[in-house]
Amino acid sequence: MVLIMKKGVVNIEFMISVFVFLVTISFILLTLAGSLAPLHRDASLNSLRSVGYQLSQVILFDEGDPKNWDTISVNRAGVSSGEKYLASSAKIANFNATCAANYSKLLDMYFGNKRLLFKVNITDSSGRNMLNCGNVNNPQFSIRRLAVLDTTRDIIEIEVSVRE
Amino acid sequence: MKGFIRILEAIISSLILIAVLPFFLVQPSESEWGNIALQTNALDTLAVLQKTTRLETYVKNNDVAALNSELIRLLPKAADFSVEVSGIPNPVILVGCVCTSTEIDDLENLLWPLNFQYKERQISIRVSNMTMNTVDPRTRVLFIFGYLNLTPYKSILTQFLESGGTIFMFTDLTSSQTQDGILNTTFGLKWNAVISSGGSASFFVPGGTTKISHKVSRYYENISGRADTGTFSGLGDSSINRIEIDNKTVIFSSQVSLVKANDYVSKNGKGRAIWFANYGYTLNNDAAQQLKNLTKATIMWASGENYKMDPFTKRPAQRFLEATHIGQIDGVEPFEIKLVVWRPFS
Repeated sequence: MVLIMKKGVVNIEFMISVFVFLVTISFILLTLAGSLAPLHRDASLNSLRSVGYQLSQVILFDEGDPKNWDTISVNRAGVSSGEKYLASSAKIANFNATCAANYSKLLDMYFGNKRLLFKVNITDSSGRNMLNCGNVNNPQFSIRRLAVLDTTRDIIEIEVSVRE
Repeated sequence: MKGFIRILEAIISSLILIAVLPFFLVQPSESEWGNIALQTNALDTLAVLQKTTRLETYVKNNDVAALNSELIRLLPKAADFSVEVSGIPNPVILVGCVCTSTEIDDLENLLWPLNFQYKERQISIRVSNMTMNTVDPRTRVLFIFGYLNLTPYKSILTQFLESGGTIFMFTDLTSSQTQDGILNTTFGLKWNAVISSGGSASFFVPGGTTKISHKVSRYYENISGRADTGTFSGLGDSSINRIEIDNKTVIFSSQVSLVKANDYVSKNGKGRAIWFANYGYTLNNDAAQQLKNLTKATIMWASGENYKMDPFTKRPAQRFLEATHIGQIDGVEPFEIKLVVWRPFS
């Protein structure tokens, strides 16, 4: 017997094959698309952590710009006295004043047009709060650094927190 | 039939595609930021302790309790730590002497005073008797009076050297003794019958700061009050001891070594070995006293110059982080301090 196929008519086997193929491709595309979101979230979080770490480095090791900056002249705020791990108590006081007067200026200084928030806490060895700048609830990254105060040679803790 | 084959092909190709899929789906690895924060904290801790000169004070006074309470305060509560100091003589040097009770007394007299100040540090030498089969694992220096063929104890010695111990052999040597398989390998001694000795002995190039002789000469200079270029007489039997000179020679006379050291002798890079030529250690003249000072200086190097400042024995977790810092005691005695940190419950 000779099976004659009309034009535009496909057989059932061809249809099943195409169906299996399409189901597979759809499954793969959906799986790949689903995995992109966590990867993007991780990349963003790592980027944020990196910014937080850099901020802690700047605050701890940078003298700021200008070196004898104050609330008015500040272009970049850092509490270093110029010697590594030695924090200036005068600059900590200036940081506090700048933060109270214009927190958004500090945000702009550190992050530019990135929509990030930060918080800096500095406490001395007795737990007394020397600086409390910013208000960040549920920070996405926090790092605790240590320094020595230039006036008392006391060990102080600098906690830097950031979030989007 | 042809149609079924086509369906089968589609299923097989689908299975292949699905099997390949995990290759493209990279599982996000565990974040290393926790470790970065911990290591940064360890580095900061050492730096601020150095800045306040407390680190040097704790090391100088061997104040384990104060250092530990400071570290507990400065490091995260969830972290445990261990402190290792290297580059300076151990504050307590445990010497295990493979010798008779008379020789123990001789060794103690030779090293007298056993408790002494070195660069404002209190150093204590403690001598105890032991045999090759009962080596106390806390022993840092295994002192052997006279020649002893160590080949039968090779496995014990290997274990001892790998733990950072030092073998100290105090004897004159003959040609056959240097070929025993230990002295010519672990001690690195090479016999040469052609070379000759004579005259007084002195430090081998004390100016070379990387050489062992330089370190021993500094110790000698500071405990004896004499210049490290001083000479020694009465060391070794000049009719034997034909040991060649090389970079590990500490004391030489003419063409031969009379004190020779070797370091990094075990496979894990630890362990030291010293051969020291015999001398009249029971004498009480000035020449003998200088040789006793030299022996003591060599024992200080033999301590391994590496010790822990932990209140009890600690074993770091499989994953640990290290922070190191170079300090100085009174600005002249450099040492390295290593802070090992880990999370016990991660």
